[in-house]
Amino acid sequence: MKTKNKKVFFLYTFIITLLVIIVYITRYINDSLEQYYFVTRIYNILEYSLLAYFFSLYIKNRFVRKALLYSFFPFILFCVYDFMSAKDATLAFLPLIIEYLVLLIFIIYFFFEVMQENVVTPIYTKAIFWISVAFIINFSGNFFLFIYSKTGYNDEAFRRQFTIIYSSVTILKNILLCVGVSLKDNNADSSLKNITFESEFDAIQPF
Amino acid sequence: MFFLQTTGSGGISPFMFLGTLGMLTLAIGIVGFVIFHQRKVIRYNSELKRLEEEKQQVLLNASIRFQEEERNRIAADLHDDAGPLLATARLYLNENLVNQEKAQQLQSIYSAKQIIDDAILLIRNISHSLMPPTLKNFGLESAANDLFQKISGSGSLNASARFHDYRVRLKVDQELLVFRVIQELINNIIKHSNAGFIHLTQNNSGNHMYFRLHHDGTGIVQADFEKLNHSAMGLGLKNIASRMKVLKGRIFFEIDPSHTYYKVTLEVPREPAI
Repeated sequence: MKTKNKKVFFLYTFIITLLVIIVYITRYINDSLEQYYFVTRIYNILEYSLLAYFFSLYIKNRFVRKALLYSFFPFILFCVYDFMSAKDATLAFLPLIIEYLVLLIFIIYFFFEVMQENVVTPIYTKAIFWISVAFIINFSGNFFLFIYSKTGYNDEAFRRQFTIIYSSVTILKNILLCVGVSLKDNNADSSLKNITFESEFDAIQPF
Repeated sequence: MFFLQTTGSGGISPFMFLGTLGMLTLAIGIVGFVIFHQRKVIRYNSELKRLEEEKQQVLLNASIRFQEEERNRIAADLHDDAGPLLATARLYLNENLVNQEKAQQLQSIYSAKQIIDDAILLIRNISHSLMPPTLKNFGLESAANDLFQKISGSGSLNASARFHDYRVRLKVDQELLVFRVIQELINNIIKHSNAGFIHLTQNNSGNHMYFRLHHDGTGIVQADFEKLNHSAMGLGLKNIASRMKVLKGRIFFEIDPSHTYYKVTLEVPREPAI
């Protein structure tokens, strides 16, 4: 990973860790559901904006890159609208579904760009591949879960299943993120560039 | 309206389970496909690189062999022709020359002079074949005209050259390479084609200069050229390919639609001499 990309990813990790701590405090120490729901909404916005920025660093098509980057503004507006229109305090399932769907589409597009590249080293030797796989599994694994959550979240049995699936996918995502972060990108591509052959032809005479 | 409902009986919805499983399978499938595709691309690139390296190796071997053959030829010319001539001249000019009669002395000196003249001519011919002085002094157009006149003068072949627009000369290095390619092509035509005429034309188009050789003998087309270029045979053709590569130009071997004559076209990027 490039230094700038690394910085963005570690910023994401730092902010998410901070938010997880805040979520834990509001949910289990303060025992305030309203605060908890509010913080998760902020978590939602920050997660989307940081991931959108992070993946936009890897997308080569200018138009798609800008679309991903600027999708942050309509997403915020939608989150605010969802928050204002919510009749009672609840988890922001709809913004979560939108976030997962949009990021899934852009990660798939990123893979599409990767497929078009003429490469020397396989993508799985690069950190971005494992990070993308981690998020693609996280988003696809939780997508249907959130679609059903709005109606089933108050059901105890559903919540148990929800916790099992959500935790499994999150653990898998975190393991893959660790793999991605621990990888060192090699520069085999650049070392193989400019291999040329030249010969002194002027010494050769045809007859 | 965006959300789906659970079964309500407290159990997990089979739709949700299947949906989640389906999404995960899809995600893993996409990732697997990307890896599979990339591995294929990498394998293809490696194969392409290997073939390119092989081709470079063939060209390198050909150029080395060509150099060796040329050295052998020059060595043979010097040893078999110049050596005996000079040795004979030395015989005429031995120590006994002073003891000989005046008339015999003059005869010996005259003979030695003639032999030395022959040796000079021979060495000049060898030197000219290495670097034609006309090319060096007057450029490609004069050198090509000179070459074609010599071929035509032999009487066995009707050869002519016409440069339509050579007001701006190519670089000296480029001229030499083009001249060598033309020489090699003519050599092949004389050796293999049994042609009755050879005609060279030159013209410009855009940023390229074109040289075209026509002949009415037996020739080759592009496919034959590519085939010979990749085989162990066709040392001269490999040499032509190497030179064209250095020139960053292209060569086309064609047959006229009427099948009456063959065409060889050289496309050379124009780099005018400063």
